[in-house]
Amino acid sequence: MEYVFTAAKLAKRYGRYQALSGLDMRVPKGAIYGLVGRNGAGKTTLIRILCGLQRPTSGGFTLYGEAHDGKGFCRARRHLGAVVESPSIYGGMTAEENLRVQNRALGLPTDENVGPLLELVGLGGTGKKRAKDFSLGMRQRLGIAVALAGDPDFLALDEPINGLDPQGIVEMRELLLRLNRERQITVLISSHILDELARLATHYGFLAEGRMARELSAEELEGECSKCVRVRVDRVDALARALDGMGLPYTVVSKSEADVFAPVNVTRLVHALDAEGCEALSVTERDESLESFFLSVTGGGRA
Amino acid sequence: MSRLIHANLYRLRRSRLFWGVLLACALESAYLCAVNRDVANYYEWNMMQIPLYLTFVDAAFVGMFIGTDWSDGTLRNRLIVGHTRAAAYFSNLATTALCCVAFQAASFAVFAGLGIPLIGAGYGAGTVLTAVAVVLFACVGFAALMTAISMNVPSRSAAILVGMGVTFLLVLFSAQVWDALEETEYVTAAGEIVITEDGTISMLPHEQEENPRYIPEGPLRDALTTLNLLLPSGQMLRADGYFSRFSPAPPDPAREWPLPLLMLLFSALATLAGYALFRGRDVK
Repeated sequence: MEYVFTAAKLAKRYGRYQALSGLDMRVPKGAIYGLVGRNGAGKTTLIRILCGLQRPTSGGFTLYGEAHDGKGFCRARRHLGAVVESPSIYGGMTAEENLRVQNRALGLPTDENVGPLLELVGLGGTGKKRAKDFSLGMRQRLGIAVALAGDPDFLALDEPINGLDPQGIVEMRELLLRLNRERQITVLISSHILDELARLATHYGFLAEGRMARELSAEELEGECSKCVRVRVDRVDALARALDGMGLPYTVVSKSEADVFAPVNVTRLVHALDAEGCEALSVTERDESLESFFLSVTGGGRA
Repeated sequence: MSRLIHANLYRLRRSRLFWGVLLACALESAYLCAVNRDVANYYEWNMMQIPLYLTFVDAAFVGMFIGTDWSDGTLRNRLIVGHTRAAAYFSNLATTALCCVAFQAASFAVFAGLGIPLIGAGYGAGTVLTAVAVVLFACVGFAALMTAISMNVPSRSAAILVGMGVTFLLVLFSAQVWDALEETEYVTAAGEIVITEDGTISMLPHEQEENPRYIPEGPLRDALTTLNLLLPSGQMLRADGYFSRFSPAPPDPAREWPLPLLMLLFSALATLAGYALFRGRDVK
């Protein structure tokens, strides 16, 4: 498989704070890669480093095969478009003027891409309205249009749907899917809105405390999620002891229920519960949501 | 880097601030010519009153121009698409130097256009052109210093404040140093008034006494002179001195050729320090 971005033991420290600590990651070409992690997990730091805005403290990464400290790295970044945190646009300029500035920075010979790009992101009719008067959703879309001005093959977006209304979220999703399918643009997208990410991503990376906790494709994730088994008992503390004894990963969901994230031998489990003096009320296989998988992978909610 | 300069020039063309400042510089000069035509004999004397004030305008403008790149996040766009830190830094330096020179040139052009017909030329063309050259080079030095500050202060308002503060300190320092260097070795003490027995009032002859503020010839005087000539504020005050009616010993413009070289050295030092800091800093 061809990868547009790979990271090996990537670390970044801000003073005493370790934002990334030995992160390994691979973004396949043509993927929509969902970067998932709690606040402070290192998502934004990773995107800043990828964009050349910050240098790693140690470790390394490649972009289109070019090492970050190599001579060809700046050239490789020409394949990249990004929106990091807030959209990078001149508030005092119109949407069209923002794109014209970016075209000049890119050295494009004409501005003929301006109209189509504004149409693509749904800002065709903004006229002389200045960007500072745009809504958040419009600014986000203009930021993406600016990032697309250089016709990139790889788009990195940091929380692009934060603060958008439901309509804006749907439009953003459709835009990203269109860019990926019609222009074969690889998309790296970090988000807290997991359900929305689940509708987009073909690959996932789960970040926890600056490390890659799990990296898997959407198919693999689907397989992992379906392994969730919900066990209902009369005493959940006894169930926890039994599951600990069997070495199974789980999340306690209520006083009488727990989700187990591995294949369960029901007979052995019932025997173990019986030994604890606990009664098994039901065992049902269920689809685990991305949210609960995220919690199980990053350690959140684990009993 | 030329692409980034091209992008900056497009920004300038669309910038109301840039055109507004340029117009204000021209209008201010026209106003001074009109108001002072009966007060001063020479337009050159009026002309040299402006540059020091304009340094504060330069500091604010550079802080606004580069600070907008920080506050709007557009500096990121340049780095993301593959431009180097050096290209981002030097393209901004070239643009701000151009702006600072343009503001000053607009002021000079109006003085030349209005001053000669209204007030009349008093000094030789050589003196005037030397002063203009010194001031324009000093503008480049100021632009280099303000760029070094603004590229390393990632807040627009902070960059403007720091820039103006540094400008104020530089002007104050240079003015103090020139004042100290212009002190004479001896000062004339006030004569003593004597009333004789027959009631005649007379004054004893004035006596020369040593000036405690005089800085004698030697390493300290040389160091202060060189330091002040290395600073853009010092050079601007020096150029002002060519036309001063109060300066005891106006400098000879024919011997001013090292000034642009010193200003290029200052610009290089400021840029070196500014770029070294910017190169290693994290951009958010």
